[in-house]
Amino acid sequence: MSPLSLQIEVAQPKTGMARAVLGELLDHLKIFATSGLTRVIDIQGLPLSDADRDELTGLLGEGEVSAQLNSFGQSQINETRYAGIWWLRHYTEDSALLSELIEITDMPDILRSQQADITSAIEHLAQTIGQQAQENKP
Amino acid sequence: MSDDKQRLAGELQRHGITRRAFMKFCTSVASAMALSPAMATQMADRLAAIQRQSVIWLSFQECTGCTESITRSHKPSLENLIFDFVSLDYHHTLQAASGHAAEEAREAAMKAHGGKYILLVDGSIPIKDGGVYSTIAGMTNLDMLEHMAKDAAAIVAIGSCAAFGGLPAAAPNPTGAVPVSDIVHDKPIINIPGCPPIPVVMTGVLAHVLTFGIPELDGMGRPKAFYGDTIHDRCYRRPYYDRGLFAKSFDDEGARKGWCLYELGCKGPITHNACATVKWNNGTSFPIQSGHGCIGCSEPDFWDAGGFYKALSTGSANPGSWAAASLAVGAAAGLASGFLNKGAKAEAERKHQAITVDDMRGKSDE
Repeated sequence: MSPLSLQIEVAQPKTGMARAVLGELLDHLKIFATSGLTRVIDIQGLPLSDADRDELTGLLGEGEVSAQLNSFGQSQINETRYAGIWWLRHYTEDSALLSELIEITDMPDILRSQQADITSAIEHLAQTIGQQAQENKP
Repeated sequence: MSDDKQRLAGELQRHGITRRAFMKFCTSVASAMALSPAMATQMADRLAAIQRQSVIWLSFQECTGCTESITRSHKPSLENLIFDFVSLDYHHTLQAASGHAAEEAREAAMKAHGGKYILLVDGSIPIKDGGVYSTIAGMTNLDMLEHMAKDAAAIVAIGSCAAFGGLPAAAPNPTGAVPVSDIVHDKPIINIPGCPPIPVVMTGVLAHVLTFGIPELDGMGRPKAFYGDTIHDRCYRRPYYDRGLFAKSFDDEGARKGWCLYELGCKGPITHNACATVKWNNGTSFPIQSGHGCIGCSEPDFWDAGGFYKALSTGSANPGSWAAASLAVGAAAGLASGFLNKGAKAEAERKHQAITVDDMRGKSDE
């Protein structure tokens, strides 16, 4: 007996949401430019169809900066073609999408070195220097 | 052992998890919980500082679906680490101990962490005939809940059964099943309804309790972060509803084009939950995205509130708990009249509703 295959395709056409989001981004960008108030929009919290999401990705495009974070799974962080609007995609270790955000800022916080990590880096670097000194003893 | 090592921060460090990785995790949790980005940083600080928390999980009249759901929480493995860090002192399905040893562990945890443990409850509590319809180690669910709630810091009612009575309380409710809130009146109770609830909603609420305390709740004791909006509010098919474009059957052109499923009985407009945004199966999809209306499983009395394939505008058997009326008026007034004329039949249908092929085709009222 051949296996039963059932193909269900539910269309997800453009609903006009992408353009609505663009308008919101423009407002946030103006606010950021004048007051420095950053903003994060949770893409997963917006009622976007797949086509809406593709449209929004296309409209925002890719800008000058593209960074990859390797920290408990990858993260892809791109500045869009509009300076100050960043698109962040965080993935789990098994490459599942964890969260997807648009940040209105001059630099997403997650790209900066974190204070706690710097503190432990000082410890590790000092250890390394100590070990090196041991190994190089005459 | 230094203080820091007993805290989550120490546990994370031992596993080589950087602050940046932890920030990434907290950003995701905060966005899932609709918290502001500033809260993500605060959440990271507070989570890092938490100490081992005792959690006691009681399962009463339930199907274990809620446990199945939470243990299939695909979201980051970092999250698993945090819940490994939580001390789950009693859970029928997950604990290794059984029989007397298990019950002793429950009593021991209660004594050791009196006033501090979080009590999770799934399943409803039967109170008819002295509560004999569900017992654990000879103790009725009713007695066990009253006993364990006494010294709990807070209670989390997981799933529609513990929150609202759920399926066991469906008419004619043979065991007199009631929700936790009918028994316990002097402790904070957080309701996380759903049949089952979304995994990240359960773990997110727990993370919130550990960091910021009891989250902001609505009038039904549900965390507003997850239950503040209806499915309809956040549905990607909402623009079709607004334009009056509805699928009339599950195989018509409208269905194929992905139009609104309102007329096919979707309960999205009156169902408060996060399915439309958080989604299921690792964020893959949710019922409406796969072409089926929402059945409203996280609302009170969903099982008795009319057929799953009846449009909300056709009226529900239990309008008291389903605030359908205001939404129903505009969309399909024509459908309403036929159904209302069938008084006796409707009553019979209320008590025993079989779903027919015509129901599925949206033709039940013709």
